[in-house]
Amino acid sequence: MHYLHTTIFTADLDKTRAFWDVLDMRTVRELVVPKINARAAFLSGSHDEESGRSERFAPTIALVERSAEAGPVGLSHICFRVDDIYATCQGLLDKGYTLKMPPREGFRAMVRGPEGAVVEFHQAGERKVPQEPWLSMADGV
Amino acid sequence: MLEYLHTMIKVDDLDQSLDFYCNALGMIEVKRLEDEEERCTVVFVAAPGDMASAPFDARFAPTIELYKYWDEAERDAHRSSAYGHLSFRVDDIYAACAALRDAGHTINRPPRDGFKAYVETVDGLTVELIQRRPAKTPAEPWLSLPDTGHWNG
Repeated sequence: MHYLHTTIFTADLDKTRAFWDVLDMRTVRELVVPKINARAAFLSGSHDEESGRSERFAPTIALVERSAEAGPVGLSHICFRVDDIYATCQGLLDKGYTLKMPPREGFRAMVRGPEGAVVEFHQAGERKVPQEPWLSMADGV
Repeated sequence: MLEYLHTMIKVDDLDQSLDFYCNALGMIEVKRLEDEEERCTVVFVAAPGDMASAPFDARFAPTIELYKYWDEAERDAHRSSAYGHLSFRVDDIYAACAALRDAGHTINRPPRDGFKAYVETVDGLTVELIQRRPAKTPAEPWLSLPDTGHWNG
């Protein structure tokens, strides 16, 4: 398990990136998030750039552009890459926590920490084969 | 050079949050501070896969900073979001702050101590800048620049 990125929603990706440019943050990857058709840019500090461009892909900040109508801007969540997303989620369930988003696709999951922060998990490497009990588990709070 | 240090999260109940991050998620407590001056307890937790890089220069990266105010009133004043700031270490805090000012941004908490500064991003987030040790010698124009606006220290 390692820190992957911190996701920040912005209404204007270019303006936000201009700010981080001043601080010597480097864009290490750009993409369009398919499901929400949103532009996203991943930035690493100059010291972290080599690691950010590597397979490790961390640590970065993920700037995701979305309109004000789609939701609030600002810090959205903290993301970790985990070796076995099912084991991570099962560990949380065993401790009595509810998944905000179960890993139905075998790749992503989200949980809300007790203080309200949202923590996301990405499966390392290949995505897991979708399976129960996750497949039929509804989103939590 | 800019290096991701940590993401600060304000907690209501430190034991409950440590149970979540350490017992349930398997993160590791790497540093704890009882800050009499700021009246807070601060605990840094790192993911196991970051432990090789986490202990460094008496700071740790990348980590989550769990921040517990001792005073309820202070906690209530910061309750709007669980998130505090994003922290980065810089080689030259004066150069970083000068570049931000030149680009038209306000330094909310100037680096009067030659070590720490806060600035609000265009999205309303607070960025904390930490000078790589040793701290700079306090110097103008920062010494006489007052705090302005608000930030999530």
